[in-house]
Amino acid sequence: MQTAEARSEPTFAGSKKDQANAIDTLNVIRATGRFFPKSAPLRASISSLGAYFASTHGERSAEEWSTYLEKIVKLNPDVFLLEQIDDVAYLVTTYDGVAPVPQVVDESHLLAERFAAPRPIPVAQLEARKRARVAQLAQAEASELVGGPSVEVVDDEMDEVELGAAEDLLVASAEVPVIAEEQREEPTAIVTDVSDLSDEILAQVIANQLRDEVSVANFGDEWMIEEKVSRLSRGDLRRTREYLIERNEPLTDEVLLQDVLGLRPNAENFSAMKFVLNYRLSREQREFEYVGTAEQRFWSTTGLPVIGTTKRKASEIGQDYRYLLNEASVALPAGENVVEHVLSFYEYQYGVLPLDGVLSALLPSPEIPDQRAAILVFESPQTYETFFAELRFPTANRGGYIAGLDRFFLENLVPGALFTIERNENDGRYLIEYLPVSGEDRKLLQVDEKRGRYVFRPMTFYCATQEDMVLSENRFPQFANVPLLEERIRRRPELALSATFERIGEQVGSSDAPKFMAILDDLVPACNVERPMSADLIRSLITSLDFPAFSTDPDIEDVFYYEPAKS
Amino acid sequence: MDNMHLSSEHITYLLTVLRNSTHPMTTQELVKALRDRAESSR
Repeated sequence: MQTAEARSEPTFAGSKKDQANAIDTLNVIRATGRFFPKSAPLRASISSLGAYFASTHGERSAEEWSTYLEKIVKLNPDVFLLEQIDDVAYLVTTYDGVAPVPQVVDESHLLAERFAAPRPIPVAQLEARKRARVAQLAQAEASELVGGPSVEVVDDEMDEVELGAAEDLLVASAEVPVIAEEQREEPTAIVTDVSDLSDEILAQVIANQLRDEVSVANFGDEWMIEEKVSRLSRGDLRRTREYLIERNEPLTDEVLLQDVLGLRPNAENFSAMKFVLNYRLSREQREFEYVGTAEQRFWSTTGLPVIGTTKRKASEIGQDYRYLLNEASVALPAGENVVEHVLSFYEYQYGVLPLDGVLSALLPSPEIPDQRAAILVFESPQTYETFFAELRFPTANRGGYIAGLDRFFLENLVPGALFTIERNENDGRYLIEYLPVSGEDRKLLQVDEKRGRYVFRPMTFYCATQEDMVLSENRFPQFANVPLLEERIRRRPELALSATFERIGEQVGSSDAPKFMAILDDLVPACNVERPMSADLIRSLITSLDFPAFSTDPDIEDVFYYEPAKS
Repeated sequence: MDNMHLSSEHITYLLTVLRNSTHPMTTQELVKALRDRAESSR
C-alpha cells in the first residue's frame, strides 16, 4: 500500500559536490514551503541561505556561500531562479523542484493607475445650437380660460445661438444671473414713519410681518403672544370632535365653548377663550376645519353630512364656474346689503349660485389663509325655515359658488324665478326671499333622469318669474326629448354654445350649409340648461377670433350666427 | 404692500405691546398702538 505520494526528484548539473549542495539547498527551501501548493514559487534570500550554510557547513563564509549559491542557480536553471526584489536577491524554486514560470501580470485592465492619475476632463466641442420649436400658449382671453386656450406652435425659426469656448461661456453665464436678480426682485421698503400710511395699508403690513413671527399666535384678525395662549388637552379636542359628530352639523366657537368646555358667555375670559379655542383648533387641521366667517366662526370635522347636491361633484361644479375667475367684483351701492338674482336651470338643478361679481360683493371673503369654504345660514321668512348653505371659495382653477340651496329651490322656485339675498345680523347670516304670486300652471323644462333626456312637464308655482329666463314648452319646444349633452361637450363653453345654437337656433342656411341664428335673450337661458354661462361669456365667445364659426349680425345688436364647420 | 416692512424698532414695540396684553389684540388695536407711539415721540 502506497502511503506517501511518489515524487520525482530533479537532476542537478555540476560536480558531485555541487549536486549535493544543490539538493541541500532545495531541501532547505522545501522545508519552508511544506504547506504551499506544489507549483507555488518558494523564495529564500541568497544572503539568508548563505548564512545558513555558513553556520551548518564550516567550509566557507556566508558571503562565499552566497556567491557559490548563485553559481548553483546558474548551473540548474530548470530548478532554480534568481529574482531581484527591492535590491535583495532571492533564490526561487517550487516544492516539486521545478523553476516557476514567471507570471506576467496584465495591468491593462487594472484601475490603480487610473485612480492615481485621473485623466483630464475633456473640453466639449461646442457647436452652434438651434433652439427647439416649442408650443406657446396664445394670449389667454377671458373667453378662452374656461375651455382652455388653443395651443400654437411657433412657426418662425429662432436664430442660431453662437457659442464661444467653454471658459467664455462660464464667464458670460456668471455675469447674467447677478443682473437678472437685480431686475427680478423689488427692493424692500422699510417703513420708519407710519404716519405716511393709511390704516388699511398699515394693518396689512403689520399682519404680513406678524404672521411670520413664530412667537405670535394669530387667528383671523387677532394676535397674541403664543406662549400666553392656553393649551387645550387632548381630551378637550376629543370631546370637541365627538360633540360635533353628535350634533351632526358645524358649530360655532361660542357653542363649543359653552357646551364642551363649560364656559358661560358672561365669563370674564370668554373672549380670550374664544381666541384660544379658535387658534388651537386651527392647529389641528387633520381633525378640524374652519368654515366660519369673521363674525360667525363655525367649525366642522370629518364625518359630518356634506352640504350640497350629490348629482354633480363639487370639483366639476367648480370647473363649470371657472369663467368667474375673470369676472371683477362689483361694488354694491353704499348701505345696500341685498342683491337680486334670476334662477337659471343649472342653478335650479344643482341648488347652486355663482360667486360672481355681484354676490362676491355681498358675501364674505376667506377669514384665514387657504380656507376652503364658509358656512352661511339662510333664513326663509316666507317658508319659516332656516338651513345651512356652503360658500365654496374660488381656487386657482375653479370658480366659487354657494351650494346647498337645492331643496329650497325645488320646493319653492322654478327656473326663471326672481329672488333676493340680503345680509342679516352678520356676515354669516342671510335672508332669502322671493316675490309670491298666485298660482301659475305651465309646462316647464325638466330632466328625465332615467332616460337622460329633457322633457316638458306641467308645474304649478307661486313665485314671480323673469319671463326671458323661463324655459317653457311654448318658447323652446326644440328641447323636448333631447338627450343631455355628453360631458366632453358640456365641459367646453364653446362646444356647449354650438350645441345650443343647433338646438334652439333658427335655421337660416341650407341643408348643405347650415347656419343658425339666435338672439342673446334666448341663448342665455338655453345655454344655462347644461352649464353656467353669463351673457358676457357668451358675447366674448361669439366675438372671439378663436371661434370663427360664430359671428354677429352687423346691423342688429345681440343677434348672433353659428355656421358649423363642414365635415 | 408685500415688499413693505416695518422697521425692527416698530416690530419690537408691537411684540412688547402683545407681551404686555392679557387678551388677544386686533390688527386695528395694533395700528392704533403704533400711531399713538409715533404721536408721543414727536
